[in-house]
Amino acid sequence: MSAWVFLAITILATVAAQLSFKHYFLSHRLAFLATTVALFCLAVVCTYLAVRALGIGRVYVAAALTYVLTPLAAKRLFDEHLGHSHYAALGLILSGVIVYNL
Amino acid sequence: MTPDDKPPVATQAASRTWLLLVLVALNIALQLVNASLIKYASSRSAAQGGLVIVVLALVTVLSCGRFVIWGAMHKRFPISIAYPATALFFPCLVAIAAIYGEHVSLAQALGAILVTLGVVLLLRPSRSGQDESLA
Repeated sequence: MSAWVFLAITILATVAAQLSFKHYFLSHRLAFLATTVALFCLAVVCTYLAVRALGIGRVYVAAALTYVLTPLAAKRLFDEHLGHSHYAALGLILSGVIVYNL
Repeated sequence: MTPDDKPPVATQAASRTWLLLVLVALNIALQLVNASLIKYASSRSAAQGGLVIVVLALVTVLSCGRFVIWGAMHKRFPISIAYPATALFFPCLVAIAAIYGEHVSLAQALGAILVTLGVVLLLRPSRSGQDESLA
């Protein structure tokens, strides 16, 4: 499997884990906690497999996309407020990730 | 509002901000240790598969520490603030890469600066009062 696929799985698993962990604190259902642990373990293994081919700098900086995706998902799922400055900040973070990987 | 009302409110807001900063710093420190361990594991040969498994297991254990920290953060702060705050990890990662002798290009340094600026903007209190997550 391509290292880029492992990187994509790492990013999606991390975002899903954060959202699941927040769900756990809102609902106190252990299923969400178990899901969170499983997703974080999956992310560790996929990070290792991605780093072997892509290097640690590219993998970890690309994984910064989770810092953009998680707040956007939190706005949709938890109705959290995102102001104009938040969107500008997320845009800067996204720009940084792109510039780093140019 | 009298002048006497301001100090307790300001102190409470400052305490919350400091708590967030401490939790973020702990999270970043554990993240950097994990990144170093994964880098170490990725440089091992296939014959050292057992060592790789042990290192990844250690990374998973250390991640449990991050679970505890994340728990404290999720209880007290919105996820849209707490999670992006840990993006300060990236300039630290670039610094560590440079310390380890890895080449850091101008574009990569600029990318790390952009990420840092984004985090600073994210945590800057809003003058409009809409972004009161840290207050």
